[in-house]
Amino acid sequence: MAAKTSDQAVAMTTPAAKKKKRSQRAELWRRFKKSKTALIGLGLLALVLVTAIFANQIAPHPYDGMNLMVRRQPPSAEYLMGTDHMGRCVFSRVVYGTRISLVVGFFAVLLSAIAGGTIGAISGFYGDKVDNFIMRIIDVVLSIPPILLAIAIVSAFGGSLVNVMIAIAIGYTPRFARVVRGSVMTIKEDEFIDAARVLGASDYRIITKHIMPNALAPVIVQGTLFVAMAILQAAGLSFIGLGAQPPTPEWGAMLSTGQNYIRDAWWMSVFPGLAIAFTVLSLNLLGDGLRDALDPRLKT
Amino acid sequence: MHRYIIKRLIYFIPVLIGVSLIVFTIMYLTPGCPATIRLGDQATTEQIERMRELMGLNRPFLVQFGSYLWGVVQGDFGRSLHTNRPVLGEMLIRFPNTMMLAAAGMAIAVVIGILVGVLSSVKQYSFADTIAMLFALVGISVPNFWFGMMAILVFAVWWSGAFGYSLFPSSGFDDGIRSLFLPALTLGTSSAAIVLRMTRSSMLEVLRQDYIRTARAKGLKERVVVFKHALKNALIPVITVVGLQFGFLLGGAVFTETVFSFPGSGRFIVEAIRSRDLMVVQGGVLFLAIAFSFINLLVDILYGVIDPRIRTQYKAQRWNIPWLRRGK
Repeated sequence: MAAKTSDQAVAMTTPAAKKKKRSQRAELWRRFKKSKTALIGLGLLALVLVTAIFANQIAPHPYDGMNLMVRRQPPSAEYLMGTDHMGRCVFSRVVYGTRISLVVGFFAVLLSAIAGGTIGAISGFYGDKVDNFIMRIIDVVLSIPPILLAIAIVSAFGGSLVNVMIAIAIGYTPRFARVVRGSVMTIKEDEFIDAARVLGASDYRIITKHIMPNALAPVIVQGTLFVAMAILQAAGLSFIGLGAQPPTPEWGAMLSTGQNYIRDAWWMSVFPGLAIAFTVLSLNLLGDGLRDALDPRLKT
Repeated sequence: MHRYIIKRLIYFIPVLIGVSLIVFTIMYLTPGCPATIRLGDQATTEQIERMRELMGLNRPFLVQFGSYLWGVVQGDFGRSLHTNRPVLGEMLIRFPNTMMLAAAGMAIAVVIGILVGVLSSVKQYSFADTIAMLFALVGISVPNFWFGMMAILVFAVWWSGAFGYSLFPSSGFDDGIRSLFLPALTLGTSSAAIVLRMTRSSMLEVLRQDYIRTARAKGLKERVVVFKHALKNALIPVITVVGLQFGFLLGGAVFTETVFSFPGSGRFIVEAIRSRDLMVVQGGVLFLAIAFSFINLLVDILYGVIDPRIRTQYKAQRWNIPWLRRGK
C-alpha cells in the first residue's frame, strides 16, 4: 500500500503531469526534427521496415526458387538484380534478407539491453562491493573484441542464426550494463528517489518504476547504434560460414557465395552489400539524431 | 610514472585470467566430447573413457581450468585436431603478417582521419565538411569485407578488363607493398571514419578555447594556430581512439584476410572454422584476445607518457602535494 502511495505521489499521474509528459515528448520530437540527417535516417529505416514487412508482396520470386536455366544472369527487367549461381532471383533474396537482418540485429540488441540493463541497474543502484565485483567481470568481457567473442561462441555451439543472435547479445551486454550503470548512479542521487524511499517503496519498485524510465534515453540511443553494429556482425559471421545456413537468404551468406563468382557475376556481390550498407546507414543516421535529441551529452 | 605503469601491469593479470576463463568456459560447455572427436566415431566406450581420463576431462571444472591456465602461461594454446600441431606456433608464424596489415590499415586511417578531420573542423558547416561527415557515416556503415570485395572488383577485375593489367593484386602476399595496399585500405576505412569524427569533434572543442583566440590575436598564421596550437591538444583523445581501433583491427582482420586470401592469423582461424577444428578456433581467439588486451595496455601506458596531466597526477600522489594532485 505504501509502495503504491509512493508511486502515485512520485509519478504524479495527474492531468498536469500527463500534459507535462506530452510536452516533453513534443520537445524531444521538436529537437529530433531539427536534425535533417536524423529525419533522413528515419525515412530510410521506414523504407527498410516496409520492405521487411511486405517482403512477400515485393519479392517477384520465391527466395529459394531455383531455375538452373537462368544461372548467373545479369540484371534485367525480369530479374532486377540478376540471378545467382543456382538461378535464384537476387532481388527477391535481398528483399527477404531484410527480414532476417533486422530480426537478428533487433533481437540480439533487445536481449543484451534486458540483460545489460538489469546488471547495470543492480551495479549502479547498490554500488560498493556489488558494483566493484560486477564491473571487474564486465571489464574482462570488454577486453575481448565482440567479433572474436562471437566467433568463439558460435563456432563452439554450431552455426545458426539463433546462436549468432545469442553470441552478439553476450558481446553487447557489458556495453549496455556500463551505460545503464552510469545513468542509474546519477539518477539515484536525485531527490525524487529519496522521496520514494521515504514513502516506503522497495528497491525493486524504485529501480523499475522510478530509475529505469529515467535511464532509458541513453539506452535507446546506444541501442539504435548497436542494432547497426549487430547487423554488420551477423553479416560478418555468416560471411565466414558461422551464421545462416543455405538456402536462408542472409546478406552475409549471399556475399560469401558471391565472392566465388565476383569475376563473372558482380551483381551477386554488389547488391547484398549495398543492402547491408543502406540499412546500417539508416540506423546510424537515426542513432546520431536520437543522441542529439535525447542525450546531447553524448554528442561527439 | 613508474607507479602508473606498474598499476597498469597489475591490472593486466586478472584480465588475462578472465579472458582465459571465458574461452575455457565456452570450450567446456561445447556440446560433444573432445575425446570422441579426437578418436573418431569408430572408438569403443572403453577407448573413449581412457582418452577422457588421459585428457583430464573427468576432473572438476576448476581443476581443469587451473591446468588449462597453467598451459596458457607456458604457451600451450592447444593442438589442432587435424594436424596435431601446436596452435601457438601456427599463430606466431602468421601473426606478424596480421600486425603488418593492421599497422598499414591504421596508418591509412590516421592519415585520412586526422587530415580530413582537421579540414572538416576548420571549415565547419561548409560543403567540404558535409562531404567529410558523409564519408565518415558511410565508412562506419559499410561492412569491411564487402568494401574489400568491391576494391577487388574495381581495381583488379574491372581495371584489368579495361587496361589489360591489374592495378593491385587481389590476393596473396607475393607482391610486397602492392599486395598490402587493398587489404590495408579495406581494413583502415572504417577506422578512418571513426578517427575523423573524433578529430573533428576534438578540434572543434579546442578551437573555441581562449588560448587559440590569444594565438590568433598575436597575429600567428592560421596554419600555425591550427596545426601547432590546436591539433597538438586535440590529438590526446584521438590517440586513445587510435589505440583502441588498433586492437579492433585485429578482429576486423579476420574478414579482410579472408577476402584477400592474406596469410594472417585471422584467415587461419576462418580456415579452422570451415574445417571444424575447434581447438584452433578457441586457441586462436584466445591468442588474439590476449594480443588485443596487451595492445590496450600499451595504449594506456603511452597515454600516460603523452598526456602530462596523467604524469603530474601520479607524481602528485607520490609526493602527496595537494595542489598538484588537483592538477592545478
